[in-house]
Amino acid sequence: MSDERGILLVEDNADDEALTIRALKRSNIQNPVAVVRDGAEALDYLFARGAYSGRSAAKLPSIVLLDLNLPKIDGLEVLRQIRAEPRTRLLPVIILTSSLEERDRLQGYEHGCNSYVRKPVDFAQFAEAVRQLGLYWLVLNQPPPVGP
Amino acid sequence: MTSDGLRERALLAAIVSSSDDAIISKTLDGIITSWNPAAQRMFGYTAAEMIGRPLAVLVPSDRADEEPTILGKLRRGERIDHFETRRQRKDGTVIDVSVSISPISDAEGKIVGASKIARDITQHKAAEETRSRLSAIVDSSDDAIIGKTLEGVITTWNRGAERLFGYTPAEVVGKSILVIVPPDRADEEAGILRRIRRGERVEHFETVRRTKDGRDLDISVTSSPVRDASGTVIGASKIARDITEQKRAQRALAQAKEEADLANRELEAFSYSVAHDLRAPLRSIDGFSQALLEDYGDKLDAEGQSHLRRVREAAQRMGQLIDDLLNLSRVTRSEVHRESVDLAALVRATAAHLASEAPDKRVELTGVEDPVIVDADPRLLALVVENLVGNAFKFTGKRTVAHIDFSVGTANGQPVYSIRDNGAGFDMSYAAKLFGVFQRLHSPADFEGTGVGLATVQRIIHRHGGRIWAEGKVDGGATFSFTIGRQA
Repeated sequence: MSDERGILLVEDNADDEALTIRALKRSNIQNPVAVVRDGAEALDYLFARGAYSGRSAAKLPSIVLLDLNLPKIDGLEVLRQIRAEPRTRLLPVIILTSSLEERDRLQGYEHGCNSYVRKPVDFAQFAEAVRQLGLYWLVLNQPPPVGP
Repeated sequence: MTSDGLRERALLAAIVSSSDDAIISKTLDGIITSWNPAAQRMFGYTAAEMIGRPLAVLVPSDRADEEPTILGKLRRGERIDHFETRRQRKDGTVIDVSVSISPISDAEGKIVGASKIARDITQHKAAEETRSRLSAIVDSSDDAIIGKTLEGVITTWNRGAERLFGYTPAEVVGKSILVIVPPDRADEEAGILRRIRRGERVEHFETVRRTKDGRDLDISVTSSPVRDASGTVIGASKIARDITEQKRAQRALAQAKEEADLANRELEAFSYSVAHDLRAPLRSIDGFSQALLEDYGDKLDAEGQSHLRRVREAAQRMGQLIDDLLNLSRVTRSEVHRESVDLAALVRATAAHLASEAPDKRVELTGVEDPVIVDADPRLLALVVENLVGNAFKFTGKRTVAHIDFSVGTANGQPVYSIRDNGAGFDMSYAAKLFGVFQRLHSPADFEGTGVGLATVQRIIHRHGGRIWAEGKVDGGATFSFTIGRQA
């Protein structure tokens, strides 16, 4: 269920995490934010296993903000596994990364990301990007129906 | 005269008149006394025209001294055999002849005249000349030219072959061609000979042959059947060219390419980490400076706030620099895929986009009404236009009305595309610095920028095989002109 309308932030950089949460707060996006530090932890969280085996696997966040360059399992592989798992295959995943490399954008979309957003250096622009993201994906966008 | 004598005379007369050689008799003074039909065919004069006239009529002026010498020899009773000379026909043409002349004695043994048999050897001479010309060509060729029989026995061996393989003709003519074939390639020769027997040509066959001193050469061989007059294949000609150097160059090139590819992949990995990892700390610097300003702004005086703003500006400028450098390196790496692009439309669209971002700016754009089709990589060309039109926008920032003009001219028969503005311009003595990385002619306080844009533009133009140059004067606007090279 995504009734809690949570956000899963997959981010290994503590500064970027703090700035993202600050930007969300400033945009009055009150949804709960769960933060995981690497790809393996992200998958454990989503599939409710390992350190997250106590979590209900049925409870999915509304959106996943996914960095690409991650320790252990990289972002593209996380995305691939999300899409391969029937329960999570429709989960909205937004790649939020520093990279504008064509290869990354192409592979991001090929692996089925819903959106690809680059983190600007300028915090004002970064905050604006996060605000628009939150508004669009958490308010305007209608999520996929929950499967049987 | 006896009847036998008469018969014999008639027989001789028949032989003379049916001969293909001209048979002429003359007195010791050189006056013609008989003239057979072949003489008429060869020289064009009839017997009636010639009998009683001096033979000297037939001698070209440059050989006038020959006849007295010949007559002198005849008087001494000497024969002249197969003397090759030239004679002039009635129509003026000169022919090559071989003549044999014998003295004629009377019953007392006194020399009374001469018989002369002349054969036309013009064609024979021409063929000989062609042959010697051809053999001179074969001899002077840098390529090895070798003749061989269908069994692979060497029949001819030119100097090129001698130079290339080290054997003299005496050493190899009559031997098997296998003397120059490395043992592991012996079957190749059999295959070539099979094809030659079928009348086929073998062209530019690249293989290895061995020299007399045991070196293996990379050579390219073209082998053709040699036919006799009836068209039967009787042997093969083989032209071999030393391509050792060419092969070596090819291998060196392939290796260089491999190294360049590797360097490129490393550069790609490097740029990737630059793009990703260098930007993250900048985000922190900018973001937390901003957080400080927002959350603790009231605890900072105006100077403290100004310091923080400078920190943020520097972080943002560095972010822009990283982006520009990445663009530059991407341009260097990416392949050029040419297609037809409307350059005028591209300028128009770029200007419209820039104008929408600066709604207060008054811009007059001219010269973009008609399509200007160029053969270029559309994405790279868009970067060029983005930079050049972007510069025109930027440097006309202090003008009430910005004029930007696009035009097409010609230089050295090639189209030249120009973008002119009425902006701040530049001092021509610094024109050479314009296209260098990080070179700026204006202070950031006047016009912002990283100094990478024009370096990127130049690199793109060069990758297309074109040229770019700039003209301008301080406060008098700038014109950037470029050509787009043709498809290689």
